[in-house]
Amino acid sequence: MFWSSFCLVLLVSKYCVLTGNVYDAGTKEPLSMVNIVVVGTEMGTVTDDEGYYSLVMSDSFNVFQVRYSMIGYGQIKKDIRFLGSEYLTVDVAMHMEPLKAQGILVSAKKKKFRNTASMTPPSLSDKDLLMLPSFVEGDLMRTIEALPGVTKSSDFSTSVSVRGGSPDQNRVLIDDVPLLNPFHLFGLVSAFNSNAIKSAELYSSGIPVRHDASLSSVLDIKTKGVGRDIEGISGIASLSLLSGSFAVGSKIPSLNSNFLLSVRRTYADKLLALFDYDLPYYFYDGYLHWETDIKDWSLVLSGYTGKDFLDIRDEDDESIKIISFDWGNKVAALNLFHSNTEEDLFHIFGGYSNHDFYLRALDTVFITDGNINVGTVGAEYTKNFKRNKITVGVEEYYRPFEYNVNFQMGFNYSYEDIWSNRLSMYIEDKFDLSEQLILSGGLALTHYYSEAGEFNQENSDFFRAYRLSAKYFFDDLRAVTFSFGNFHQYIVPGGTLINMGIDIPIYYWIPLGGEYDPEEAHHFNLGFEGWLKEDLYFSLEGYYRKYNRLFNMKDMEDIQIATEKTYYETMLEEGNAKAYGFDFLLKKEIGNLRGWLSYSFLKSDVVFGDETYPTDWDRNHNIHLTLLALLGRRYEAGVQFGFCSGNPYTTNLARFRDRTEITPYDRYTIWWRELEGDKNQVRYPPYVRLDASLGRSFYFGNNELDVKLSIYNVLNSKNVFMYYYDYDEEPPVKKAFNMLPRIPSIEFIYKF
Amino acid sequence: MKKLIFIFSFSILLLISCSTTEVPFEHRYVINLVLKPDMKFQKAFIDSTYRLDVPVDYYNTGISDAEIFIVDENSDTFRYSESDLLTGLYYTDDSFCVEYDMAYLVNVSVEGEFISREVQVPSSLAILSPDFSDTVFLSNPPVVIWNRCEHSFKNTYLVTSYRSKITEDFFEMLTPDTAMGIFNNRILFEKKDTMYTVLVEAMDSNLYSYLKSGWQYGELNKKGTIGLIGAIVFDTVAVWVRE
Repeated sequence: MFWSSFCLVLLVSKYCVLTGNVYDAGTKEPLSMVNIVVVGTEMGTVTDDEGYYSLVMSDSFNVFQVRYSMIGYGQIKKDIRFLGSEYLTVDVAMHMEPLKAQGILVSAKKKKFRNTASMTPPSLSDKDLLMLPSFVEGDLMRTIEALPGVTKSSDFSTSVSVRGGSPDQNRVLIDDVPLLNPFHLFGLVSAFNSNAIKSAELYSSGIPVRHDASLSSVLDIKTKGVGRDIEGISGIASLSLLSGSFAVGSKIPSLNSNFLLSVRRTYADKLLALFDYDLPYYFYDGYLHWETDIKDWSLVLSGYTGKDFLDIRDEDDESIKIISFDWGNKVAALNLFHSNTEEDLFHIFGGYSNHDFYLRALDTVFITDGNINVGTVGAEYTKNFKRNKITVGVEEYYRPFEYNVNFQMGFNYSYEDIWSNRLSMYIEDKFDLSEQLILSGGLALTHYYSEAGEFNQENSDFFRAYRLSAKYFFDDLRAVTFSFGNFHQYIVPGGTLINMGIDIPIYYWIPLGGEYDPEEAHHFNLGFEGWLKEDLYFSLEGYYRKYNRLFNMKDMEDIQIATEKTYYETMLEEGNAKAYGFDFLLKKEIGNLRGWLSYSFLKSDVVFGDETYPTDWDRNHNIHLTLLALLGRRYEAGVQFGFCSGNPYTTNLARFRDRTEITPYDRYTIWWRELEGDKNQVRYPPYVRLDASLGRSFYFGNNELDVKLSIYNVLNSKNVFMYYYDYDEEPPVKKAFNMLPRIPSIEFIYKF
Repeated sequence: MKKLIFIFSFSILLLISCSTTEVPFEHRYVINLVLKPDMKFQKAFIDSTYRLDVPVDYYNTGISDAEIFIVDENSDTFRYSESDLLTGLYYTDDSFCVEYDMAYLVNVSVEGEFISREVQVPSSLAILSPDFSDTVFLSNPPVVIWNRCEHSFKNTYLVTSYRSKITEDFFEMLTPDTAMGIFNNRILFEKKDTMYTVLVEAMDSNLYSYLKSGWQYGELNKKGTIGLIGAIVFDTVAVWVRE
């Protein structure tokens, strides 16, 4: 190649040649396929297998800038000047960018480890979401299930349980505003578009006292803006088998701002319409993130909207709706940050969240709709003193609810004047007692007021939430932690879908009022965390949770349906629960091979009435191995392996002939029925699943195309979702309905 | 790293060894007895549960030699006789007639097990409108109205519509009212110029619980006899349905 370039120079003396070698600064190994571009021109080349490049250009370019870039390495710009020479050699050493970025990440994590009195919450970054194997497309909630302490009851739902709590006890926040129903496609995929998510932290212990609105965990999601080093307009267009999405963002220097707008929509309905096939379902969602700096203030405005539509009509008469079901969420959040010095921070926030649903079945036989709203406003001030860090804050939540359930055939009820108000004041103090010991305490006083005007019911009471945690450092890299606190939850899921045991997480949230006090739980945690090596983080935490007061929708036969008032007063039964176990995490956070190994042991039982039984998500043993590898030559690979105990289920003990004749025409034919045993006393076989992905990046100038091939359930493990009996044979044959089989998928992500 | 691989492999083997446990079969007696006023013979069926994994000749299930007595508010006692035609079937003769708004005590003795259950029969129920053989126009649908029935559980009624004589194609709905605009729903009356039957039923508490729970029978005594001992009253009206 050198000689051919040299000959070319001889032949065209008006041109000059830039050559050189590009190599890894750490290993000194040559780097192939490095993208080399003359800035401001369309001229460029790439390095060969030996890292060599040559660039022929007109001698009119006496001074110019060359940019060297490659995925995984920091971009380098070189100012080149030809000084009468027609041949110039420039060798370039490139540094691995991920190492640098992840080094910052590790550094930040160690700083957090050193400055907080509780366990460091496990987190996921946007890069993790893009690289890990996916089910059809990258999904935050499906990745979270590999974190320690997280279990679930089936593949068909992205709802998760954290440390034995039910899925509704996880509070999902988008930029500090709750998202009430974070699911699409009946829970099969979550509402989170990977292109719009910056990070997600899962708090299962050490939950700050300001978050006293859920019993189990807080999933704190931050939306993504435009990177500060990005010039001009940038964006991402992606296409998966499920949906297409587009994100665009830019800096606006004149406003000292930047923004990112992301939209996503399923496209199967449009595609199939070309072939005259009507698919009656689609969903869409959109995110907006806007950041502005005004003097000492930083303003972050973000929003989310998402909607699902299902519309099945009668084949003969399209005006008759068999099922019409739509539901969605809207979130708007405004966060203002102000800091006079490095020692204080003033945070003002406000937001609005809405969940609406509408279900109409069998034309007008059954119609229900509802609107649940949350309006929130608050302020928080944090001041660092020599040994103390004190945070004081106030939060106001206002939740109006509206339900209309209409059985056209005769039974109607509506709740239109239900609302609740929650005003909280809280104070937190982190106290550095010594170099080895940090203490932290928090206290929140909440006034909760709920009113159901039609029922002449109101509830006004004060509730205290407290947190105490301590961390003792053996050295800079290892510490033991202890924390405990009490937690409240003011709304619970109701509705028929949950009550029928169908794992569809579309909650009809119900405010607790009247005789129903808020749910309450206590958490006790004891943990040990630190770093085994510079890049190898570990944590081990045991926990015990006592749920003193839980509410559950009763079986329908136990609900008084005569009036709205009796329905509301009799719909919930009170119970309690306990959960205990421990979570272990070993995480390698930097390097070409990174990932984590987690193991969780969990036992969770609930008590309702005189029945004590394991929860549906009581998987006792959970092992997850997640690996991400940069293979070189722009290839990336990801593997996720999960091995868990089977979920508990209620088995059938026997069968009997149902000969009940209650009508004059013997409507009920003689039928085999099955006698159920005690609830959740047996378990399905262990759950095994291996997912894998392979991705490659292609570069076109400044643009990048990532292609990711994922295979969900590579081993095609037949994980049992439920058993049933096939009575076509005698004796009936026990058959399994399995969870998701092997599903390959491909994603295209184009970044510009 | 080797240690990690060892721990990981060992853990998986440990989990694999945790196989699921099968719950043994539970034998229970099954009783089906529903009192219906205006019926000449009251029927009952006594049976038991069967294993799921063993073949059953289901035309010949049932338990014989059971004793069933029913006592009314006047302490009059009636006995169910065992059928010669079908094992497990018991019936009363025409000397016993279940009366509306009457409480009964049902006693069953089967293979040493004794079950006793009180049954409150609701008062009579009659559909007031429309009349039998009326023609109903879906373009101007009438409301089905019936009288209030005392002692029906929760004052609720089960309303069913179906094409007359084609009972597989039915739709039912509970209501706490004594009226229902069932003909407003065109989708339930797709076949035009056809006779449809509307059935209104009121149940006692035992039958209501059975109906609402759908698949699961309540236990009838502490030893685990399952089934239903209840009562029901009803009325029907058949009408011609036109567009």
